[in-house]
Amino acid sequence: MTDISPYEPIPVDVAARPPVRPRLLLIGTALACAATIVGYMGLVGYYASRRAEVVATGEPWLPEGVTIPLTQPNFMLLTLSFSVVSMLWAVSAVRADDKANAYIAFGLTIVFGFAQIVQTAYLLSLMEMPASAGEQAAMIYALIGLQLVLTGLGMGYIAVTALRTLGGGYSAKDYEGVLSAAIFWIMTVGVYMALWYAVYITK
Amino acid sequence: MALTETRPETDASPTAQEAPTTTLDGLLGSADHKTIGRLWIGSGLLMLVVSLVVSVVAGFEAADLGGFAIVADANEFTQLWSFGRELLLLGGIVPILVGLATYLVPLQIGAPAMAFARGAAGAFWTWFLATDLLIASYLLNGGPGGGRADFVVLWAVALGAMAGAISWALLIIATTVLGARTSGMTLERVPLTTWSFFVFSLIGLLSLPIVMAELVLVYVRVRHGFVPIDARQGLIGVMTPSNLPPPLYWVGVPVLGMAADVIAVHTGRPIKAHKSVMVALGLLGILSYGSHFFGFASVRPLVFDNGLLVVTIAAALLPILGVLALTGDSIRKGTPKLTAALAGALLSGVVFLLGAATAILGLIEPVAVFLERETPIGVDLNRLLILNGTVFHDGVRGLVLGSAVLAIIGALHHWAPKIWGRRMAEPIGFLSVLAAAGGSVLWGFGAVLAGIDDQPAYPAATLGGGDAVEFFNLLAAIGMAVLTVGAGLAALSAAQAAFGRGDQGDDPWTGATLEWATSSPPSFGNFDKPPTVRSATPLADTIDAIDESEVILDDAARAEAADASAEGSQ
Repeated sequence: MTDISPYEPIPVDVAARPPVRPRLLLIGTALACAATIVGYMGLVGYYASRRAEVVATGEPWLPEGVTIPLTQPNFMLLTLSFSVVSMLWAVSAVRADDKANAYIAFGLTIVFGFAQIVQTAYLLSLMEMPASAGEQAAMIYALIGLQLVLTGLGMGYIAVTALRTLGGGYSAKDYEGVLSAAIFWIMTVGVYMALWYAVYITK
Repeated sequence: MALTETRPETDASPTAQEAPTTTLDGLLGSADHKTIGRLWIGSGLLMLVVSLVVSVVAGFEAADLGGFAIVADANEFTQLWSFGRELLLLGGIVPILVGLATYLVPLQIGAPAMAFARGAAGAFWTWFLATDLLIASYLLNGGPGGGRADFVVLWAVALGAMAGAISWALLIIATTVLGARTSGMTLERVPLTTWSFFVFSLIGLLSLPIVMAELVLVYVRVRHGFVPIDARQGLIGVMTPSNLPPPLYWVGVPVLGMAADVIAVHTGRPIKAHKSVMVALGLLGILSYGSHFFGFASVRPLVFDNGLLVVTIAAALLPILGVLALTGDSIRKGTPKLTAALAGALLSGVVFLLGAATAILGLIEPVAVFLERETPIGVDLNRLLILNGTVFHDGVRGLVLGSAVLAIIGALHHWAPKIWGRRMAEPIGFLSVLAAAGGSVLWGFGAVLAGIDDQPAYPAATLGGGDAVEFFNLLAAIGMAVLTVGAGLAALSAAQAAFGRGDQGDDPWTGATLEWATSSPPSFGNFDKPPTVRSATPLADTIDAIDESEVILDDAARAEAADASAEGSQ
C-alpha cells in the first residue's frame, strides 16, 4: 500500500455530514400526482370525444333546458389560483421557520379549497341537472365529483401537514412534507383547470 | 420526517427483534414487507388457480357451439368468461408479481424495509377485500352481462378498488426503488429483477388509473340506468385493452427481468450486458404503454388499423429478442445447471416471444389495407387473413399470460429459499413447468387457430365460425386445463415449502445479488448493517478480484475468495 493518496483526509475535528434522507414522501406524491393526472385526463378525453360525436350529429350536447353559468366556474378558478399562491406562501414560511405566516397560509389554502367546494354545490343547484337527466349529465357529475374528491384529499393532506408543522415536525431543516402537499395541491388545481375548460367553458 | 414515511422496522434493532409472522395477529397487523409479500404471493396463487379453473369451465362451454351446456345463456357465459379473465390478471398474475416485488425489491437494493410500510399493508388488504367483493358481485348476478344492476355497480366498484390497490402497491414499489437504495446502489446497478419491477410499477401506475376512470363512468352509467340489461355484455370491454397486445406486454417486463436474473445465477455467469438489458426492458415497457390511450373499449372497440398501434406491436418484438439474446450469452458461456427455476425462466422467455411473434400475424390485414390505400398494387382485400375481431387475440393473451405463469413458477423455485427458508421440490417443479409451458402453447394456438377459422371475439352472443372451431376451442380448453394443473402443482409445492420443515441454507444457488447476502428468510430489518455496493452483482465482486477474466460463482471459489480476503486484511 502506498502512502500517497489522491484525496485529502477529512480532518478529525470536522463533523461528519448528516446522512442524506431519502425523499420518499416527495417521490411518492409526485408519482401519485402523475397517476391521478393520467386517470383524470382519460376521463376528460373520453368526455370530449363523446361530446364531439354528439355535436357532429347536430344535436345539442347538454340536456334540454340546462345551462351552465360562467360566473361560478370563473370565480372558482380565481379562488384556486389564490390558493396556489397561499400554498406556496406556506412552503416559503416553513422554509423560513416563520410559523405564524405558515399557519395563516395553511389556513387560507384550506379556506380557499372549502370555498371551491361550496361554489361547486351552488353551481350544481343553478344548473338544475340531475345525474339521471342523460348520459352526458352522468359524465359531467363523474368529472365534477372526482375533482371534488381530489380537492378534499388535498385539503386533508394540507391539514395533516399543518398539524405536523404545529407539532414541530416540519421546519427549515425538513419541509419535505409541506413541499409534497404543495405539489399535490397544485395538481388538484390543474385538474380543476381541465374541468373548467372541458365542461364549463366548452359546455 | 413525514408521518407516512415512518418505517416501524427501522426503529427497532434488526437483530434484537423478530417480526411476528406466524400468529394471526402478526399476519393481520404486520407492516413488514416480507410478510406482506408472502400474503400477496399466497393469495395470488390461490386466485390464479381459481381464475384458471373458471376459465377452463368457460373454455369447455365455448367448445360446444350448438348451445349452452354448462351455463344457461349468453349472459351467464359472458359473466363466467369475464370473471376468469379479470381474476387471472388482477387477481392472480399481477398480485403475485406485486408480491414478489414487495418481498424482493428492498432486499435487492439493500433497504431495511419498503417505503411507506403501512401503506404496503394497506394496499394488500384493500386488494384482498376488493377481490372478495368482485367474487361476491359475480355470485350475485353482477358483472358484464349481469342481470342485477346493483351488483353490476358492485362489480365496477370492486374491480376499480382492485386496480386502485394494485396501483397503490406499485407506487410504493417504484418509490422504494427510487428513494430507498443503499449506498453505492445507483439506479443503473439495481438487479434486473428490481429494474423490471420498477418499469412494471411505473407503467402500471400510469395505465391502471385509466381502467379506474372507465370504471367510474361505468358506475355512473349503470347506477343511473343508462346501460340496459341487454347492453351489459358490452361492459366486458373495460378490461379488453389491458388484455390485448401491446398493453398486455406490461406483464412481460418482469417476466423477462426475473428470467434474466434466474438464468444468470443458474448458469453461474452474470449478464454482461446489464445496461443493455435494462434499456430493452424499459423500451418494452414504453411500447406496451401508449396503446392504453387508444380508447375506452367498453364503448368503442380497440381499432387495430391505428398506425401507431401497428408499429408498436411490431416493434415490441425487438426488445424481447434483445433481452433473450443478451441472456443467451450466459447460457452459452456459463455452466447451466438444470433446475426447475432455470427451466421456468427459459421457457417463459420462449413462450413470451412466441406470443409477441404471433401477435404480428394480426397486423397483416391493417398493413395490407394501408398499403393498398396508399399505393394500390391490386391486393385482393377479401382474401386477406382477417384476424381482428376474432378470438385470435385471446390466443396471444394465452401465450403471454402463460409465459407469466411460467416465469412465476421459475421465480418461486429460485427465491423460495429466500422467501420461506426452504427449496421447492424439484420433480414437482419440472412437472409444473412442463404443464404450464404445454398448456400455454395449447391454449394460445388453439385460440389462434379458432380465430383464423373466423370465430368472432367473445362475448358469447357471437359464438360461431368455421367447421373446425369447436375442435380448436376444445384444444384451447384442454390447454387451459393443463396450465391449471401446472399452476396448481406450483401452488402446492410453494405451500409445502412455506409450511414444511428443513433448512436449505442462506444461499443455495450462490447468487450474485444483494438479497443473498443476508439470512434466508432475512431477519427483521433485512441486514445487520446497511450494505455498500460497487457493482450490479456485489456478491461476485470478491470473485472478480481473484480472476477478472472469468467469473465463476461456485462455493469453492466463494470460499477461496473469502480466504484471500481474510489473508489480505491481515
